[in-house]
Amino acid sequence: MMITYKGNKEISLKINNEIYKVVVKPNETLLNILRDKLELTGPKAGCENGDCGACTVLINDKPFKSCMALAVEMEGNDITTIEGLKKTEIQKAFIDKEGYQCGYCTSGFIVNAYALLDKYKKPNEQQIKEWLNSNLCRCTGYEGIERAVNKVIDNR
Amino acid sequence: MTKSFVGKSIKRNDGLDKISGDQKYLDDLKFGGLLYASILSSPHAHAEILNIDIKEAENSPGVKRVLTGDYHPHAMGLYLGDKPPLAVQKVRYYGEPVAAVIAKSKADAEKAVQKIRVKYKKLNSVSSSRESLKKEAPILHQNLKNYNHIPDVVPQPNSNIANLTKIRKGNYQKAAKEAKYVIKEKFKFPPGDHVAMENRSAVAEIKANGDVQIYSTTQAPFVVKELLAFNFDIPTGKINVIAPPIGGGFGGKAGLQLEGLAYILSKSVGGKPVKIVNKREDDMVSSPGHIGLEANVTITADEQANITGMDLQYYFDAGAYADYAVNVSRAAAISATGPYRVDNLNCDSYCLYTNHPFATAYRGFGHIELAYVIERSIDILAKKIDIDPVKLRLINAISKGDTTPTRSLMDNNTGDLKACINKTAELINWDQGSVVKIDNDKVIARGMGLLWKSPAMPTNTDAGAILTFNNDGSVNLHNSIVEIGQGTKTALRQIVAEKLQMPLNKVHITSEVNTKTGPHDWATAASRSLMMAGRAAINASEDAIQQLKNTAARVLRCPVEDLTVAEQKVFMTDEPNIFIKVRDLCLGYVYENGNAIGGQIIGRGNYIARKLSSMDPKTGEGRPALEWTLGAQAVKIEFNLRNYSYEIKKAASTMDVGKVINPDLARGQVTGAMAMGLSFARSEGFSFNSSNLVQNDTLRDYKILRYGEHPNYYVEFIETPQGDGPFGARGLGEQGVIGMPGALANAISNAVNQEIKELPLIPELIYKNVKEGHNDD
Amino acid sequence: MISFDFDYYRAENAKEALHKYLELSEQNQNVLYYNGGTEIVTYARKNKIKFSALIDIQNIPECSVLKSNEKQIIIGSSVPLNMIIEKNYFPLLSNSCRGIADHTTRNQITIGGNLAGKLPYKEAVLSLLVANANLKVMTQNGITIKKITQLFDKRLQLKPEDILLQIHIDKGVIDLPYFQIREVKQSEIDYPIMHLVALKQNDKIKTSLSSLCAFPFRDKDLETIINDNKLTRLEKIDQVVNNLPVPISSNYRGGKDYKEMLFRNSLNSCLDQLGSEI
Repeated sequence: MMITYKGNKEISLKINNEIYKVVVKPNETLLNILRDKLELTGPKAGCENGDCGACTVLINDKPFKSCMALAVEMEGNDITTIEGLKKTEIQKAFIDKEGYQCGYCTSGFIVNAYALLDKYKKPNEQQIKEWLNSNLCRCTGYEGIERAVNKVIDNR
Repeated sequence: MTKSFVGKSIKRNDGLDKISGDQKYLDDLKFGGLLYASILSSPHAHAEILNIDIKEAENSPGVKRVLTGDYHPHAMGLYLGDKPPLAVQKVRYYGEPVAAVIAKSKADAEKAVQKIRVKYKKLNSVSSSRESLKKEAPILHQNLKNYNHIPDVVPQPNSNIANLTKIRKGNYQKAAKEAKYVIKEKFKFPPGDHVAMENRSAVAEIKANGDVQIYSTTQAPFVVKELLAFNFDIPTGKINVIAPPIGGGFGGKAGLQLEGLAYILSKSVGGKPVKIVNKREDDMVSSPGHIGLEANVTITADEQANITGMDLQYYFDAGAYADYAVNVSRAAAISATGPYRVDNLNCDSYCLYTNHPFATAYRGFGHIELAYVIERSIDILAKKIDIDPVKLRLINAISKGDTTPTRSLMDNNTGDLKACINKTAELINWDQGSVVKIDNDKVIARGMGLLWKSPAMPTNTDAGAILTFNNDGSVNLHNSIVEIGQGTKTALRQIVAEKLQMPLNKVHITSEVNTKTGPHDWATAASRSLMMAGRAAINASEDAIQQLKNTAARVLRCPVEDLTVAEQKVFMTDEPNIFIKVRDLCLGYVYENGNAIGGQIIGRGNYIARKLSSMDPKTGEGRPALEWTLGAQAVKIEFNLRNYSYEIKKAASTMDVGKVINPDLARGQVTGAMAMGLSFARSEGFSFNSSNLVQNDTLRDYKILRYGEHPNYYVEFIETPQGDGPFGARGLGEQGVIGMPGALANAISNAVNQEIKELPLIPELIYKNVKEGHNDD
Repeated sequence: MISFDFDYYRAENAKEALHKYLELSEQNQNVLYYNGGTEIVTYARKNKIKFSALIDIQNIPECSVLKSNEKQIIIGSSVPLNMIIEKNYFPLLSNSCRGIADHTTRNQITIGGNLAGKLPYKEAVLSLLVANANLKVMTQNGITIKKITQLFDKRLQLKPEDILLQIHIDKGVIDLPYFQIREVKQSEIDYPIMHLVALKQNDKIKTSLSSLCAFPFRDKDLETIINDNKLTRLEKIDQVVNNLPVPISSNYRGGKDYKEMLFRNSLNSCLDQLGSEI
């Protein structure tokens, strides 16, 4: 049977290992729902155009830009936001290696880097670049971010 | 034994908040009863507004009010009042706000704003700063002569000149006549954007008692407060501006941004709180960006390669409104020559209206722009003289005893620029050559660019600091520096910990700025926060120490001067085992019988810039500059001769910052600035179509530097103390951007053996230069 | 945020999706199939497209297949680009998809979305054109399988209600010598200003191009020139440039002159590498 969504409808989303019941409309993006309805404001609306990566979350362990996904598509998926990452290696390394300044891109960068380091134990330079150039940072010049990722790899 | 916190790489205080997603920025905050605004912006660069039909929008669900320019048809500004919050009669740039909808939800506002119908009559538009000076150019502001402005800004009615700053030093004509070498060049680059990752937003509310509360993504909460008071005739004390930590500013959040508009929106709905959040596209073109420039540069030199004179015309493209641009062009005049000894100078720095998005402060404040044209010119001069460009820089580097363009003396605090040049040359392996062939397709090329900068700000710029104590003996540093990612708050904690000789984790600091409770502070801009708020913090610490000693002296029954404060105790210097804990003093000392004395300790500190003066309108003579940070930067690129693409392999920077308070944070500021300068030069700038509409108003099309495109950074500091800086420190937040565009363009010019005189340095531009260069041969 | 409302349907099989499309269209609804969504969501936010209903086809089992059997590689139209790149059944396809958007976004962009979207670049089509892949399409008259070269002209020539289900690639092509080059204005993460793909089969070079001109194409006449060994290298390149089916396009990403230079260089490298002449 075809599943239909018209107007407001309650869906359930699994986010950071918790089930959230939330009323959504088909035109709401996952980012809208996370920020405006679930108070998960770690993901940021930097461009809402898929260009900056500040809204990156994990869908089934893969990085996604939540500004380009509809909330209604997300039922049945495992969603992880920055709020779901607690004291992970990469978060500690971001502090240790000055991987952030203003902090606005940081949620998205960390979530993406976390997924990379989850998938590959020791990603090479090319892989790191391919993954992390999905996100923009305007403050750091990327040196701190690069060092943070390399610190995690070196500790493995 | 004193403990040292200054000079150490202390970790930032906001780390855990930022890596966990907990840090709340303005758009993350919840407000009760909030209404949302959506803005309709101009689709034209220059047009007359014939009619605005708002009926359908007003009837759209959830809409509370629809506003157009006539609700508040008064021009406002920073230094020159030329811009109404919503366009009146005319639009002057693509993206200019024309109407606003206030509704119960974001979605309702968005829906309604599309129902506003505007009829325009297109007008001819001004597409460059040179064009704006032509006789046939349309005049953007016919009412210029009636606009309010400060005395230092000199608009010229019936023209597009918003400001003109003249510098006349020595005798340029004589220098030109006697010169052995002369180069004469023209340069240009378009306006662009800051691209702070957080878009601007503001929430305004007018309470029943008339109190105005503004939350804003601002670098300058006190400027906002004072300008709102001035423009809307509100007693200043009735206004409170709250600035949470912001997601990057780079100058784009200084001055007045969305706050004035938010205020009238709130006013129009009876004072209810109204929120505006820029979409990225609005943030790039509706809100102000980075200034553009066209320039004429003539440099003269003698037989020994000494620069004898410069004749400079800077035509800044301010866009449609003056905002900070009128001071950017002035700052560029103050520093017009770059960090070179130039005894004979003519400089005319124009701030010009065009039909482009308007410009505001941008990291470097006029210096990244002038440095590009000067550093390119220096390389061209070096080729003309046939001298190594690094050597030419060493010969002419400004040093102690020389004078600046405004004839103020480079005093004992002058940094060691020659040491910076030598160090940077070493970091980039300059001795290996400016162009080295690798194979038929590839060359390695190097380029250098110098920098200098002084804060360009009002002569009475100030900062304050207040220290209060908690009953555990820890302190709270109340300050009004906005957290923009720069880390100044951490450095201020280090300064207080050092002065009070107490553990760093006992020094707490406010993260948001509240203009009602915080001390006055001009703005978190111009790389002066550490210097000024640092001095204020030292002052406040000393005041607190004195008060602690005064109370302790009474309790210990000894002279005040016999006491020392350290390790959260006040003790007798020569008998340290006789002491009182700070926590037993800081909120008043209580004797055993219950009698209390002393009261709480409140340390107060302030700082105001010293000995700054205005400039002479005819010659520019004066002392507008607080202190000068000097430096040298360079890049090494690998250039592909087949498709004219290149990779930036290395970037080096040596700056004389007086004293490094926190080495890791200082490095982070410099690498970040270097990346921004490289990004600006490599790929940024608006692209306009023939109607002056911006073609790249998204981050998909407006390219900033990405991960992996960044070079390996080499950063060094020289520490010639700044006598009046905190622990000898001077500003370093902006400076790292300044020399990079020139350095990169010099490297590319070396790689292709053609003089590139434009930005951004995209492969196609380089290809065209090479092709035209060959055609010229 | 998308400011207009629409209905969303999630189809479990292709037939019901197509029937729903027809049913809604009859009610004068403006319907789009949803497959990845990056383009639809971002365009909708900017009001560059309007629709009243989306039919999500990503749950249709056939559309999610990614496998290789003895004869062919089967790629469902809802398979994200990253999955295709990582499986790497067909290296030329992987390489020509690798430049599309960025890594994170390639977890969302599906191959079907890239082929059927409104954007003119459609870089995934290039290797499919030279490999002469088959497309399995659900139509009102049932399932058809046709050569991509028959179906692709500027864009996929499907009826609005048709659903691209799968792409079938003959395994005979996957190990053939190939050439692929993608040129950009400056940043790698950008739409290309020229993307050239070539495959050498039976001593003949097949080429396809995106972004040089207004739309992607594979052109038989150009291949005839390229494979005409009576011509010198320079003659070949000149003739190819002079016989492009449409003129080289110019926009702010790249001007005609620069793009032509890049194309000439790229074609030269291609011929160097695949060696069509003596």
